[in-house]
Amino acid sequence: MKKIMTIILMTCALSTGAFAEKQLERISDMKHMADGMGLIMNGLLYNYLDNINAGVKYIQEGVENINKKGELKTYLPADTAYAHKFGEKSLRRIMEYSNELNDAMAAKDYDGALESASLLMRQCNSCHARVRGW
Amino acid sequence: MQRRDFLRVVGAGATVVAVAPSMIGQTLYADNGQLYKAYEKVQLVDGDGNPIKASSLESEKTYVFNYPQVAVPCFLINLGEKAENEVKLKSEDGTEYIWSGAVGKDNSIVAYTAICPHQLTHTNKADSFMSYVPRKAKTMAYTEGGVIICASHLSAFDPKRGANQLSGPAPQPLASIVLEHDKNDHLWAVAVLGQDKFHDYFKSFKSEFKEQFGGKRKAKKLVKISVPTVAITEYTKEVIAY
Repeated sequence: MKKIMTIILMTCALSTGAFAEKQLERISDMKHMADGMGLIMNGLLYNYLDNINAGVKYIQEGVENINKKGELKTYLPADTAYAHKFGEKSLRRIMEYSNELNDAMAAKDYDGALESASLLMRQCNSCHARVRGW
Repeated sequence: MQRRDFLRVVGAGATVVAVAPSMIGQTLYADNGQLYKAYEKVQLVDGDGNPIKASSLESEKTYVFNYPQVAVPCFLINLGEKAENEVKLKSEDGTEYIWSGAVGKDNSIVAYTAICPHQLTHTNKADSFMSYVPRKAKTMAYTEGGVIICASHLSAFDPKRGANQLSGPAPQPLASIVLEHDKNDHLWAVAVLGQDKFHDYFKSFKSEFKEQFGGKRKAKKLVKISVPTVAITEYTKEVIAY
């Protein structure tokens, strides 16, 4: 009995630890992407290309990190885990819009870049609105 | 009103009725005239190119076709029960219009654009977050079935009442496709009624249009003569509904 209890407690502790670690990773990825969004806004406002490029890089790194961890379902809060398909789609759109932003900047299409940045922001918020229940 | 203006209005009205006979059979009205846009009359055909018969549409099954442009997805649904008549709807900007767009023997066949007016979620070849939930099925988006839902932010629309919004953040009804049902039991798409959001839609999904249609310009091409109409499960790889 003692052994069984120990195993149960150990399993609970490990899974709680793993969940907490995932939570920390998620917060870190989201912060990385938010920093990227800040850099893009700053770069567009001050016409500073390096910031825009860095911002796009941060955002794409964040998306890649989340994708690497696999099933988004396990990564979302339990009460909104059902919305993982929408989260996955949002990640794909974020990649698309950030690529479009890069392309627009390379073509010196500043209006196009502003448009892509606003779509990027909207997509981030679209997912937040869903999973954070705004 | 001066005589010249009066004649102009009468002439324009007669032209509209001559060009779009649907105006006689159905009451469609938008007070500024901008919420009713006639496009080329296009016949709905099946995957083999044979005209679709209205009476052969399965009850509560969702079919998809593209109209008026090749990248604009639309739902065709036989609701299995009579839709309402003379439904007063309001677009996001407050413009009111009347919908009576159901056709078929039982007045149960309706068509709407499968683009959510909230954040332009739409049906495409890869997936569909828009879907019709049959009457006996359940959804998180509304208290009962028999509704069109957007699974992105859980908006629900009433297909029996011009796709009027029932719940969720959608600010207006889905734009509806005006159908004609001829004496051979064939179906035709002739116009779009309601605020369509096509401009924003074409601006927002450049990469998708490039991948699926070869570019935005090609995606905006108008549909002509006939358009394939297939079950949603054939049109898209995955239907996502909650």
